[in-house]
Amino acid sequence: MKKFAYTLLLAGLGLSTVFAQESNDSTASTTKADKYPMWKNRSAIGLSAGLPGFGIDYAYNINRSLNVRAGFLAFSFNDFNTDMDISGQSVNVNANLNSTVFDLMLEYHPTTNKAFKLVAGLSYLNNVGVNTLVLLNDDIGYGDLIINNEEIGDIDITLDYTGIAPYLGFGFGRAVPKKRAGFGIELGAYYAGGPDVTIVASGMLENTSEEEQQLEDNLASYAWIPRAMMRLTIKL
Amino acid sequence: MKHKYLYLFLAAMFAFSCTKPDDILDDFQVHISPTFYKYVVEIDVEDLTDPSTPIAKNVNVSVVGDNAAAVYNIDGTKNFKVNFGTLQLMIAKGNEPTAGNPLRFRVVFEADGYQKTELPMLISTEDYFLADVAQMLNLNNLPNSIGTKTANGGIDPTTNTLSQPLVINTGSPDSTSRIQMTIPTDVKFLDENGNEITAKRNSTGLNVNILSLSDTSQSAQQAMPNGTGLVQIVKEGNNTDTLLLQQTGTFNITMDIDGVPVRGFSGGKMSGGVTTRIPIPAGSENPEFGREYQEGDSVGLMSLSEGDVAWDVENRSFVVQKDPATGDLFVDPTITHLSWWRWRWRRWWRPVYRRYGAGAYYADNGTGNGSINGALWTRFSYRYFGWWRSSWFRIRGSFGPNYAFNPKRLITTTRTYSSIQVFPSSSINPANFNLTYETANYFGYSMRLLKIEPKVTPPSIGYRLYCGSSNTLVSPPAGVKMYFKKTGTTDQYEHLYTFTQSNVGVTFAAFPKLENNVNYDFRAQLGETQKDTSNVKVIDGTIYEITMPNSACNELGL
Repeated sequence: MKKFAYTLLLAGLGLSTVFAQESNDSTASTTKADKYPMWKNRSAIGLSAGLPGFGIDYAYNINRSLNVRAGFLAFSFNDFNTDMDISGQSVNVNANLNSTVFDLMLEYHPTTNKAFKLVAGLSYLNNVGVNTLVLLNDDIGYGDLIINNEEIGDIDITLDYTGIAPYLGFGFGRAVPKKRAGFGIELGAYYAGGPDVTIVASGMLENTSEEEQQLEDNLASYAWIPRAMMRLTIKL
Repeated sequence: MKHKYLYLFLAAMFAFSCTKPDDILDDFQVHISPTFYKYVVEIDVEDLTDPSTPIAKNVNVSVVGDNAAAVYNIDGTKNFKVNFGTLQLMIAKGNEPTAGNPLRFRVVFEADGYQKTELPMLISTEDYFLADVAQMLNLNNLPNSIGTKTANGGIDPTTNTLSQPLVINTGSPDSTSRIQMTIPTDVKFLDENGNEITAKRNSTGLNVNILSLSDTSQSAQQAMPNGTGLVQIVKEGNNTDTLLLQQTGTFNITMDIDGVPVRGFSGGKMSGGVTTRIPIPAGSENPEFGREYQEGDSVGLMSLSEGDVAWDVENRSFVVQKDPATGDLFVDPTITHLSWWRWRWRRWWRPVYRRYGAGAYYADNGTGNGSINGALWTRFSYRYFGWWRSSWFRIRGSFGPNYAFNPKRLITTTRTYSSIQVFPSSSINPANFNLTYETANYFGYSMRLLKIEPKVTPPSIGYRLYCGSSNTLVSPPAGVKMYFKKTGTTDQYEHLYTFTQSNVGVTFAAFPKLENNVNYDFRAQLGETQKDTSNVKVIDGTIYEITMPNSACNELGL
């Protein structure tokens, strides 16, 4: 039964998995005035996909080096069910991933003729995290008695990041494209300060909930949430 | 590349967000509490005459009664076994007692050469741990106050009655408890369903056994049915009460024909049925008049049949007669069924009952969570014509700081007792404790309480128990018993503690049987599983980390 929790914890770590993305940015090189016209068509909307979700944003070009962007990202993946065999015991893992992020970003292009950018901002993370429930598939025998899996119990662990988080990143592609449409990629990380941990255990595993603080302490160093996005931009 | 440092910082920050997942598991423990059973009954099985010597015979255990189906051996099977002198039972989850629906069953112990012993059990909700003692009477090693006699009479196969009248005279060797029984030839014998027992061809005949108990002795009192000494449940009319019985002879009469137990009789109209002649011992007090019995007084009769918990007071009275030859007083009641029998005051006298109780508590001196496991003797005594007469019974279990939650005995009696004593048996060494008496009123019962206070503040120690690895923190299953002895000695292991549903969450407590800075060998025991841990120095305030191999955990049901 102790294997339940290991499985559960490792599943919870999925949040920290990084998805590396390859870039094929193709920023063109033209004259300064051509490539960056000022004071007209300075707004764009963007559609994003990646970690930590899918989103939409609005971008505004402040000057040749600076863009500001406000957007919203969300992702939800519920009832991921899988059976695993751990040392001869069949367990069911049910995982739910949720992510809702509100961003306010400032993009800085160190060189105006290049698409490379540095990004900084503040985000509000709303219930970004994972919830995993693990329980035995089969009953267990004790003498002539059958202990059903509900009596044995389950462990439900939720790792949750909620609150204001500063963000730093870099990427390629303009928030407001030169042409009608543009494409960009971005890598970075939110500083979220470690997740809140909630453990709800039942049955024979009930006292495992006492480990909530310990797990929270262990995860305190997991303060950075990675962000890896592709973005399609359309100039307004 | 003026921005190279900034790029490096960003790359490092991104990498840091992918810290090694294994670190999460540091110091994280899965807690496993085997709570699929909560109710445990623990019965020590011992020889009544020689408790310190284990019963060498194989003890067969059965559980019978209304809720027997809910009862399992501690290993979850119906294979009831006495291990290391103790029977441990559990109540299967789903069959647990609820408010107003306690569980009732009887545990029956049988062994060659021993009197069959039955203990009635009543488990109410949240009575998570019951402890009792089955004291089995060795019929080949009887004390002076207990007698047994076996007789046989031939059966006429055409009538299924005795060929000749059978007369049996028996009693305890100390002559305090005597009986003469006459079984005439016109009596037929009935089985438990009231059917006439038909003798087989080449029948062994009627086998009769009478066990005579002289209740004036402690050992004879312990041989009383239900394992509660003279404290017995008595049903009189519509009233049922737990009474401390008067001291007098008690007889257990059993018969069988070809192995079929006799439960009752029919016929006997010509002869008057199965008659007995029971002497009224000299000096027996008639409580109705506050004097000794004399010729012309009346006495009643009470019986306890196989499978019953409560004695039934017969709706008959018998006139006390005097033997003209010897001057001895006697009564000659007929008996209608087979069971335990004893005489008492006449049926129609309504005595004034008094309520007493006996118990104990452990004064932990603020150490917290302290308790002491063991057994206590209780002795209720009164003086009668210059002689002390005492009734003994035992209280066993775990005694914490609040007597109301501890094992205790509540009784009703007609007598005023001038001395009520509660004192420890060998499992609690009086040399290590200040033992004083206190009184209390418990729901109308006048309680005599033994305050058990350690002379030296005991060490408080704790434990963390792991299975297989340091990631699995487990609670011992209810019923695990801990024993101890000092390292390097040949002492017997002594009971230290029993884990129950009530205390399984207590992981740090004072242990008054242990001494600080002394090395001990410890033994954990559950059912037939036993694990020893040697040479552990007990240091006050220490929390001991114990990691058991997976194989041991599996044996303990973890």
